[in-house]
Amino acid sequence: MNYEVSFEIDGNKYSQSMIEAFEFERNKHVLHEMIHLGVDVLDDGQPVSYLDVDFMSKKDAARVSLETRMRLGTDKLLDLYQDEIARTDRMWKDIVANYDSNAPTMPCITTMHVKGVTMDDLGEGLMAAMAGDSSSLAANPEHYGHVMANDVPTGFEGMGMFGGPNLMQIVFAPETKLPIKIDADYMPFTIGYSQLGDGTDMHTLAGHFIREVDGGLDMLLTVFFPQGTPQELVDGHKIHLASEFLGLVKAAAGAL
Amino acid sequence: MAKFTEDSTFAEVLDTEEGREIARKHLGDLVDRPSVGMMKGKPLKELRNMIPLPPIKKKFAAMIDELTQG
Repeated sequence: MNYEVSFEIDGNKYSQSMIEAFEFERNKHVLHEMIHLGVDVLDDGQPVSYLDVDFMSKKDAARVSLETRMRLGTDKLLDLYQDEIARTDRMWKDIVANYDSNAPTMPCITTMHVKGVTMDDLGEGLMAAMAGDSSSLAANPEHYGHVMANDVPTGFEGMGMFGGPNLMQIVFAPETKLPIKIDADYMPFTIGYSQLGDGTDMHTLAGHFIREVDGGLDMLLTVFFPQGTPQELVDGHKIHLASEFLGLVKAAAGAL
Repeated sequence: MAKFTEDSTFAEVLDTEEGREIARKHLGDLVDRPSVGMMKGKPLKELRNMIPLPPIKKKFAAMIDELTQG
């Protein structure tokens, strides 16, 4: 299926290849990180060194990154990343310790224009990702898996290309009020908030919206972080959202 | 089958063989994944709007209709 995507972030236009350039760098980052953590990264059965990663093509970095994450599995990855998870959790607990419900949030907004993919195609892609097939790991280099934490389904991922990965529970809550006015022709498709793996409220709201336009779809992807969140994380997450939903569109188009 | 009502929880549905079969028919492999955990404690009527993306909402509505109306 032929498709086209483009993005707008903070008034700047991003193409698919620009987002894929970020993904390339993050795939290499994840491979370097795993090698640093002692993982035997393999490419077609052959060991990959830290230096080898710097000489990989975009396609090979994506393939080896995904194959390694799938081969290790979520439990092993959780064990390997335990120090990064603990430090990232500490960062979030420091942020929310000073939470002031009257303070303005830090918005993270990415607009995505899609041609060639229908709402139904996207629904099938999202169902497959929710069902936990490899598309959810392939959709972003920093998606490590899904686990149950305190009996709640929890994503294991890096947020905002900042710090390390950690466990985050995404709680669907359609009644959540977001601090943004949304055009009336947009329909919500995910609204909720995030908690750390232990249930700590991250005071981070998410709302993703979609509308049908001539020849395709527009998606408005929003996250609202609490004051004190590093601006680099907020800005990085705009790219993360673009990458993740580009992955969803690719899955829907059978191109992942 | 009308064995369930809109107030039945999704966990109650998945606890029965026929309920699980109907859920699987509409939601596929999702019924076996951790992500279903966030739905288990909710009554069926809340699941109708939990994911409002039209094609997914349609799948949940069809499942709930079959579970509650037979």
